[in-house]
Amino acid sequence: LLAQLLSEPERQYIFDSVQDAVRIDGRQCLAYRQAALRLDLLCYATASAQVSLGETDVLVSVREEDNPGATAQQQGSTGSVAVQQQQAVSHPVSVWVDCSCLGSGPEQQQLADEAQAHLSSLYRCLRTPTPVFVDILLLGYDGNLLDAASIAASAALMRALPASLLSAQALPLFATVHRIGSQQIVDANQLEESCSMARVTVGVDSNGRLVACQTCGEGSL
Amino acid sequence: RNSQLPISDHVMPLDRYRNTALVDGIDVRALPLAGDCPAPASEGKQQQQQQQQHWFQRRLVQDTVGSGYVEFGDTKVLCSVHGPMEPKRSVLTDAGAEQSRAQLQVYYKLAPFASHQAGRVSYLPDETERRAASFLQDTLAPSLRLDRLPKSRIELHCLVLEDAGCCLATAVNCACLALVDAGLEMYDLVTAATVCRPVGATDWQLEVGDGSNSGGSSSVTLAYMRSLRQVAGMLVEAAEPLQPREVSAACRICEDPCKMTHSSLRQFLLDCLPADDRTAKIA
Repeated sequence: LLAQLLSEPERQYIFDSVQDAVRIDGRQCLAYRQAALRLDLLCYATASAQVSLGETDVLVSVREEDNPGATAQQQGSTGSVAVQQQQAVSHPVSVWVDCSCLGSGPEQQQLADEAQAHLSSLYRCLRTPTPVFVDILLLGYDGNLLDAASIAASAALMRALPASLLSAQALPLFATVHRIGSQQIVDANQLEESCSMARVTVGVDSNGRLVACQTCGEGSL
Repeated sequence: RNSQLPISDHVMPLDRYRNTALVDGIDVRALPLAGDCPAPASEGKQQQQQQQQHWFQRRLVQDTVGSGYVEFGDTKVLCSVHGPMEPKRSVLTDAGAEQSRAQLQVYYKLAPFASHQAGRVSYLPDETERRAASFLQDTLAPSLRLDRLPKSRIELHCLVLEDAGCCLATAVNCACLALVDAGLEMYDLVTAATVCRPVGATDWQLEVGDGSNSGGSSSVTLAYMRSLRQVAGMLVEAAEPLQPREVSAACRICEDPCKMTHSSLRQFLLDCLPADDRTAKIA
């Protein structure tokens, strides 16, 4: 996106200063930006949350589908027998990421696809009695989309799901660590992301257990 | 042409799965992997060892720069490489810096008949396939010398003909073979292995291509570059929350199969060279 217009000396400057443990906005290597969370913004959603992490702005709406008949049609089953079977089946959480506010180019679409794949795998262990749809709208992007989106989505899901479900399964969050040279940084902004060779994204629940983990980026570790 | 050349005598006689029409392939039996076979009856053990061996072939697809075909147990993957070709233009890439390396584009698709459990797979790539394509791209890019080919694009098309488990790791191995066959410079061969663990079990098992892995288990796929001793990619798909030390234990278990595959792939590639070129091999 914007970071592709970085020149080589600027890239080198960011790289060298991170090696000395100084980031361009003055943070420590393992420090997050200031985050703000707002809840219950949308009236037609079961729950909603908006997170801004620096300039990265993510709006999430969670909708529970109350009509089992609709999902019976989606799965191609016939008759009322299938509807009764639906109520006993647990559903995975379905995630959709929309990056249209940033533009309609292929880079934006790739960002959205990658985020959707990561977030779907984050909530893979979560099973709900009714189908739940999580729609993530990206309003602004300055790096670290996955962490921000996971905070917002988990906050909205905590509001939407009944407490009985939540006590058994603690909702996970993402933590993304970028590697620039020999230093690791957390919560990279867009410029730092363009300088990083590789990143590891780990989804962790409140008990410290891993729910998802993936390396990305064109570098090796 | 195919009828004139004899079927080589080290192909097993009852080997219905081997593509014997294409005779450029050389049968390489990887060493049996220690510690992975359960205490067995002798027929079971032999079948297990056979399941854990790779079959490599190259030059299957005629009109491409390079191609590779790998069978691992029953899982069959075919990769073809096109390029270097004109790069894709986008509004932001008119700047010169962006063109200093080749763009690597990976397309990954399961054939409609490929899946055992899921029935017919649709023609359009779905989320799992897009994710696998981006994983392959992130795994192969560290090893390719893309800076040798500025202002160009390399396309890698990966087609899974049969998915009986360990599909992504086999695709990584096949893609690496195809890229070497295309003559693209690489720092090292990238090989991958997968270990999986059903929900509630305690031990990680190496995933082999025999269809025994059901959908509901956690898996860790590690792509490793043996000579450089670096990890090119790692993917954890958890069916239940895992402790971090369990994941690192799984990665350590993956390392040995990756090294075995690396040495058998390397041996296969050296054997493909004509005899007088073998003395000039890279150490």
